Amino acid sequence: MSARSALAVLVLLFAAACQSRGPEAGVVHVALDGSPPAATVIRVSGLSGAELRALAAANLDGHAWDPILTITVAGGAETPVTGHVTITSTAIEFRPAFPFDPGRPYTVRVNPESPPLHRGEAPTVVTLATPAAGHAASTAVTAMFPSGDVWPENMLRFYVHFSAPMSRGGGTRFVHLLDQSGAEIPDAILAAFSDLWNQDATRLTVFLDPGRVKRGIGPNVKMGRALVRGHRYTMTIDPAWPDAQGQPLAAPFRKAFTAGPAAYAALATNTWRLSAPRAGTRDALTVTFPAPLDRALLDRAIGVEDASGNAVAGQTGVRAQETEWTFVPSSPWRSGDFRLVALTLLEDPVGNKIGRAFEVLTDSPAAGATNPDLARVPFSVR
Amino acid sequence: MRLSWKLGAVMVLVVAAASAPTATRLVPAAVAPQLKSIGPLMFGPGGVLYAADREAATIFALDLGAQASSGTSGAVGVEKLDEKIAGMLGTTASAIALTDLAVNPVSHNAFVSVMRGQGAEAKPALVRIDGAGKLDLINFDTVSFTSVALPNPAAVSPNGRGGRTQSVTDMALVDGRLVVAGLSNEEFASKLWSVPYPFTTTDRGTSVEIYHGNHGQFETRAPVMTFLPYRAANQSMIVAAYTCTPLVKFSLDALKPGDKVVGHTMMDLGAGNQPIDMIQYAKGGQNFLLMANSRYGVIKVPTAQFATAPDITAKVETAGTFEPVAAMTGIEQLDLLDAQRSAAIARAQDGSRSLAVTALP
Repeated sequence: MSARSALAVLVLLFAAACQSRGPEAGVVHVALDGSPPAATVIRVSGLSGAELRALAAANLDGHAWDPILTITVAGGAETPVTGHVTITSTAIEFRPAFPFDPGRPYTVRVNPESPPLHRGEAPTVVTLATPAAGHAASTAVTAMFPSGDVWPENMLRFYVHFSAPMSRGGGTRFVHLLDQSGAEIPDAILAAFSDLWNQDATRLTVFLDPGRVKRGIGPNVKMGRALVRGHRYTMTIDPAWPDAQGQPLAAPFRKAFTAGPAAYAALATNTWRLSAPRAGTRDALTVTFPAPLDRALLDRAIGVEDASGNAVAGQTGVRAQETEWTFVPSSPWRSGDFRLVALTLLEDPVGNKIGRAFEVLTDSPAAGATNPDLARVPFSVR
Repeated sequence: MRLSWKLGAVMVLVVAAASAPTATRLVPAAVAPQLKSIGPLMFGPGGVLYAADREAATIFALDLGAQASSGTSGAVGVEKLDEKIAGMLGTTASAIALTDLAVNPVSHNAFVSVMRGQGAEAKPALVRIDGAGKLDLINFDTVSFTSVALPNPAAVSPNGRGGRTQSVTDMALVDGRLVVAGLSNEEFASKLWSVPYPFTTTDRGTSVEIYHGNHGQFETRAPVMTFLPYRAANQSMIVAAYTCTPLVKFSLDALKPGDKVVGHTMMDLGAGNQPIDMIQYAKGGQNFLLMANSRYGVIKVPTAQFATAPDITAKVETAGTFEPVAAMTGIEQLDLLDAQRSAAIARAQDGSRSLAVTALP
């Protein structure tokens, strides 16, 4: 019975009950009504009108219901499920604080001996379940960024993309960095931040331990970096990683790469090459960087404005292993002067920003310099 | 936990004197907060519960009313806490995550934030554990609240700002301002954001960028994993543990918006060691810091050394004085239960989580 039809039946029963003295005492019956995502209701019927009125008069709340009615996860903890109890003219109704899990069995125990019922009957114990959702393992890793096969040896951050929402928390324990012999490199991944998901839990940000990446602090001195220039590595994703439905991944994922030279320089917009489009077309503006930039930041940190500083509407894209950013305007280019606008928080995968390297010598002028929020690169459309 | 309000008499007095607004009253208050998620928790001195909602990028200040103290005063250890909470929420331990623990400074009941379910279906819950070991689910329908949104950094592209989220790692009240540390899932930002409390619609707070002055050689951005306010030499300080391991201190006096703050290493906790949580307490006339971390479990650090600690300038693996606390293992969240005991969420050998109550070392 759907929640709505159950409600309709209840209204009819209530109308009938109002014209009588309520139901006569019968056999205690427990039923589960409604289906997710609608609120599921456990309904206890078979109580007389007098019994229901006595329960209502007792004004029970919270744990006070435990001697009379408890719902527990079958095979789980004995702690009763928290919920809200209402008394209608025909039944006790229990609504859980959170919808019952699809397919999970719950044990309902009704004790008619307990005050104020005082029936000389043994408790009724029933196990019920809503239908299972029937999920299968189908979620897969769709990409890992940087997508190139050379990662700087001072790599700080990478992204794992999934085809569907994943379970939250503890994700980094399914991410393993292997050396060229296939052995796992310990303490490479920063486990302290294992929950850096995007909103819909389809992209996880993973950091290599910054203590090993940064030069000269304890972990770096003691252990060195996890990546060493010239060595080959594989980043693996364990298929046991549960998705949001609790199912494992459809397949394992491996990305092989070689560690390249460390990147220590600040990003500089004067090293970017712009291919200016022609006026009257919707040709893409293409910006080419000397090295890959952060995949996620490329989506929001660069835009285009006209000579008056107004944003130009259009679609951005990223290609060539994150070394190219493209912009296709919504309307054809007008002849004139434009500017590429970049937030200086734009980083490469190592953490170097526009105008400021990740690591700056403490006594250098760069350490005390104030970095503006925006960088602009002019270009003309003819 | 995310704050010990019992920071020693000096700190409490300073906060009280500098911040008359830090009271239990919420101005303007609404009822029945709609949290999308619940992460770090922290109680203010008057019993206001600050809860970080990462999904909504919002900090809620909650007045729990009678639910803050209607149970038996105090809190006791609870074995298999995760299974018991899961049972209350109608599910099993594998389907929930215990995201933080905070102890109410008035009732000394323990409060545990929980996410039930996964993905977009995950829902927040708050559970109280009282002095009789009884668990109760907090009903948000009667809770009054105010809230403030975390600043959303600029985006110049209209296409791609949907992927950014901001995790909150820790919070504390410092001189009448709520100070929040966190980490973005995109840019490697290392900002401490502070906002006056009670929250107002006109002051959205200010940020300072936190750097790590690395043995006198390099400066790097350094996200803060856990931190505590600390008062020394008549200065308002922050003692913080960075994600890159060191324990540092920096001054928050005379800070202006947009300032750059360089924290200097007092103690290097050693390779492969991640800070998890910390509290401060007094015993035998001395102040100590208790820090949970991934390598040593829990360490006890005398804080008297903080006022005079010179910056570490040599390449050393560890420095400063601390001692491991063998009685505390598997600690994932930590708070001060009362003047003599800590409360913690601890992972047992079988993988279950308990509420552990332990005498302060």
